[in-house]
Amino acid sequence: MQQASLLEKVARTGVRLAAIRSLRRLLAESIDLLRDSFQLDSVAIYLLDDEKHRLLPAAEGDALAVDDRTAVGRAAQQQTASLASASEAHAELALPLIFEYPIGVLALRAGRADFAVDNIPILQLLADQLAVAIHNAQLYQRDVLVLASAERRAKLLEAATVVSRDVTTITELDTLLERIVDTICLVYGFYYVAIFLVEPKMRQWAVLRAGYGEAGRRMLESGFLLEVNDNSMVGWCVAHQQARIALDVGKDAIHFNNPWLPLTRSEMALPLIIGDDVIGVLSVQSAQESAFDDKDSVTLQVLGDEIAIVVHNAQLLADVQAAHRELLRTKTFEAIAAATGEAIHWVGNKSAPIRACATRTREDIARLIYMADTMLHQAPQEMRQHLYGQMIADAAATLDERIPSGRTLIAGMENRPFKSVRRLLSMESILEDLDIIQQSAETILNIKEDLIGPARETRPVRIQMDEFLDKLVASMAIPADVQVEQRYTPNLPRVYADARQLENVFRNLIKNAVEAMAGRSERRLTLETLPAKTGGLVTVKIADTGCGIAPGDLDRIWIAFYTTKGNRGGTGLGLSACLQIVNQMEGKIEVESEVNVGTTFSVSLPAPPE
Amino acid sequence: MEEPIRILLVDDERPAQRSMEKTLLRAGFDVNTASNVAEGLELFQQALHSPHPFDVAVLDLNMPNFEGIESPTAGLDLLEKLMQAQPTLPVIVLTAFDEVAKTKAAINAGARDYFVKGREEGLVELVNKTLAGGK
Repeated sequence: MQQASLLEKVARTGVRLAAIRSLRRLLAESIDLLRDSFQLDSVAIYLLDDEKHRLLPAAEGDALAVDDRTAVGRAAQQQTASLASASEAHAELALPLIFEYPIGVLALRAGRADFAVDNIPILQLLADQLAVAIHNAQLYQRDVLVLASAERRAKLLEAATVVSRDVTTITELDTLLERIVDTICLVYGFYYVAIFLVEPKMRQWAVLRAGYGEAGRRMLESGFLLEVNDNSMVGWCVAHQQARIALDVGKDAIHFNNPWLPLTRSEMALPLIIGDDVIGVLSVQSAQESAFDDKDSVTLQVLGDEIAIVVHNAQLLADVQAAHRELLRTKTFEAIAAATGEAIHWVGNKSAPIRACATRTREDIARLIYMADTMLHQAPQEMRQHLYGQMIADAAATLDERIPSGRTLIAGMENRPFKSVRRLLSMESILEDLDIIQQSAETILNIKEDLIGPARETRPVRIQMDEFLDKLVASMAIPADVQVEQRYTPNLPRVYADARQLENVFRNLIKNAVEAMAGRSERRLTLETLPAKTGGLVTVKIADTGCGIAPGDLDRIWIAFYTTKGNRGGTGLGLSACLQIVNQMEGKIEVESEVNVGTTFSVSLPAPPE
Repeated sequence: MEEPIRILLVDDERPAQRSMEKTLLRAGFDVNTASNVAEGLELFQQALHSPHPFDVAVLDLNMPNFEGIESPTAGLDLLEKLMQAQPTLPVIVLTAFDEVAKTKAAINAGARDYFVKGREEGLVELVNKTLAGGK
């Protein structure tokens, strides 16, 4: 090589090398550039490791020691060019790469002639230029990293603020997890981020709860999950309760090849820990190798801890809500128990007279038969042989069998005055006792309807409320002096409900209304239908001019058996059953009342479009 | 002839009231009935100012109202009024179900005894026992 042109080449090469900022590119391209420009057999670059004991090749090859066993080692050791014979015709020139401090060694191989003594200083110049370029590239890389690091930390703070704001506004856990995943992805520019939560009971599966982008969406739809074992980063992370980082997934034994994420080159699985338990995993994947440095790991783990707290709080909230619902159910059971107590009381009340009436009836009938039989014994033969005579004798005989000393029932009666005996023994009395028995039994049977009515299976149909109300009122025996007023809004949509249940409700309300007006000077029952304020509903109002309900009692009227007492004749279960039925229909029932003026019940019922 | 014992029976449940009335009548008592507290009080006052006031009163504790106002203690209220006006009057309170608290309150207010509705013959025995105790 001619010196002048060599110098020129070196200069030109230097310029080109200086232009490459990326260290990796520099190392790769400079080898090719030098080999081609200077027509060398081969070029190798070695960089000193941190301890400055070993030389690591930029391309393939073995590391070399800084000693005098090789030309390269010698060049590094003595910080001067070192020439060695590679073979007969070939030589190796090792040039130290120095820029203020030793960086490494440039090793050139070529024909012996190329490494003439005069050329070596020029080639050292080349090495110096390369050293400068490498140094600059390293600086640049460091600067970029620092800058990137600072930027990322700033963005992370921003992301944390967004997340903590979201925590207070988004209570739906899955929505929140999606936001977190999107935020991390956008801030860091990662290829993919996901959050898995460990299934709490068996703790055998990590279930995907949020995933970035299209891949995330597809995986969520398919119910993606990973088993807690060593077959995936996520599974491993849960099993061992530790973070796992793979800077090159190709080389990591446990990377799970996800067909939806083909570009993953580095992956990180960070455990979400509450107390001693791993409740989930934050999975981060990058399309670049070695995408995560230590600082990233630390800051992402901090974020992971925050996510763990968020998830834990959301789960606590869900637990509280479930416990609250359970409590309501228990309160319902308490209410049912109380109502059952009332029901027992009520049934006891209603059934009390039945026994006495039955006994009395038996005795009274016996007395009548015995009286007739006594007369029969004093009657002529024909009468005793008459069919009726035989029937009476037969009846008396049966009584004698069945009621020991039954005849005592009429003992001494013969001598008493008619009026005195009739006061106690009469057909009227017998019929009355039988009526009492019948009424009591009916009332008890009716309460069965009220108790299980709401639970009965329903078959909803379309009902036009005007017609329904008119028919109902006609079927009820409303006293003539009660004025019935209809205020129906025309063309209301038809209500969708079970006809029998609806009848139970309105029959009850109308009956209450009529009874409330007992003894009032003005007795008016108003039936009104109108569209509800909320769409899709029809409101029916039953109003009376009765005694009204005191403000303190307005809430209590819905309690089962609230008014069980006598004269009402109702079961007292009515309004509570009505409330249940209307609620089940997904309607509403409300009451307004003014003492001494009247009461209005408003029932809103669903009327979906036909 | 000795006048029959006069019993005031106050109960708002018509069927139960009628049945008890008949049972007591057939046992030889003279019975006056009222279906609400106001009526009961009126009958009582009338009898009080007559030659023969009531000898025994039988009151249902579970009556709904007093003077037109719904009150869960209407029965007790009537009891107190009767005790004020005629302190020696034996009063038996009726309960359909063992309501311990109310019954205790009634005894504390002066009721002589209580009777759980059911076997009406028992009521006759109780009235007799109460009258015997009084004498």
